[in-house]
Amino acid sequence: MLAAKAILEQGLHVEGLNFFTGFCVEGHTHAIRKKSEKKQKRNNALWVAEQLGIKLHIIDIVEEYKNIVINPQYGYGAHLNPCLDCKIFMVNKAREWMEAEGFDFIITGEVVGQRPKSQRKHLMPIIEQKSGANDRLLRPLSAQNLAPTLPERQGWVSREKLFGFSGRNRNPQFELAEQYGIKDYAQPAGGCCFLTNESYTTKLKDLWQHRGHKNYELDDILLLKVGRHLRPRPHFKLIIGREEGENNYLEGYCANFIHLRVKDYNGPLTLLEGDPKEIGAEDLFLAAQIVARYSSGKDEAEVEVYIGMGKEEPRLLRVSPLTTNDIPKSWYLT
Amino acid sequence: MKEWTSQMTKEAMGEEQAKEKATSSEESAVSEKSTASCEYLLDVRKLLCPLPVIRVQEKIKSLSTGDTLVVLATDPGVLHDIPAWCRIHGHKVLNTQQNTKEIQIKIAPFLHIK
Repeated sequence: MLAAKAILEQGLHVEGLNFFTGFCVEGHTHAIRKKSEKKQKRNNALWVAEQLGIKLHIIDIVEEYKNIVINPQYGYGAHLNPCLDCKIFMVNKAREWMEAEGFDFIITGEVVGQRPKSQRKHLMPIIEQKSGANDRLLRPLSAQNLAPTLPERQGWVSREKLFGFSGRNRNPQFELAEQYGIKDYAQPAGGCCFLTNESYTTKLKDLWQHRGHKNYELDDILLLKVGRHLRPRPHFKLIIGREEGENNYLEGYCANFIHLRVKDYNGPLTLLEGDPKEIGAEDLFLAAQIVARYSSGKDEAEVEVYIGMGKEEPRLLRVSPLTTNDIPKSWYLT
Repeated sequence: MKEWTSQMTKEAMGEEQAKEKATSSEESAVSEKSTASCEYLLDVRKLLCPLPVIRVQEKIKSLSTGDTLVVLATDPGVLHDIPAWCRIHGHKVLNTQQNTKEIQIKIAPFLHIK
């Protein structure tokens, strides 16, 4: 937001690009969870664009991005975050868009030394080189710490009116925001990707490990954001809705998953993820006992649990709910 | 394992929603307003932010002057996001309707003449 504002202030025409990877923290999670109903459901990129008075183009890169997540050339950060590869990929996509739409250069909000992986000074040149943007990539907030770029050398922008921010201290950015009259801003720490989230990436690693490969579909990575995930057996996992909004969301997947719900008691909708051919009667019985534990009938001696399986008619199973102590901590994927 | 004891209704397990999902993300021309313009339907039910906006963005590129686009959605986020996207691109939201399950937004696109 600040980088775009700095260039707008110099009288240039700016349009925004926002890339949808499927791992975005905003949006889906807030839309799904009922308890987030009071939270304003705005897309922050759109909101920022409107505040700045610029157009925003949201680009779906879900398919192409898979290769970045699965095979990052520069490796992962603390979790499964391929930050350097991701930045190269997005700047490259921005370069392609720039060339197709007749724009002259790209700006990003990067600040030297602000992030441990992709914004270290000795790594930043890799981004401009590998993306093909080269000296058409300008970082307005850190420009004075970096070699002059084409827009600066050509006089399209005044280098003197750009900034020399560096490091993790964000006070200069907060002061600049105040100077611009910007009082509301989103994600000041830049943490908008689930691939930096320990709990989420534990579930993604589990998914990859038990499938034996890293390929994924959009629904796979969206479901990792929803519900409580337990793997009681190596060949199946349960995704248990934690509240009404999540149950409603999981309903949309019932046609493709074995699914369970307790009869006559409030409780979660649960998806069973695993190859149906490998799921035996004992597995379904155990799954039903676990689901019963998360229902309001958990203290009953027995409850009945509906189990739906693909196009087959749903059936009813009578089980004793497990207790908290019956569920080993190792089953929880968090 | 104990035996199955009864069956549940399809409605209880959300089959209706499964059917909706199966038909989601489809688009079609729903009515012809004149020989030159059409009203198109874009079904983005079950899709969550920002996918409805992305689908609208893609669909509008194919429309002609005078066409309108009716977006059918379920994510309440579209009530903010689609009008916001329309405002910044100059498209006009003609009306918005919402019931307990679905949201309908009618858009008149602003098309650049290249």
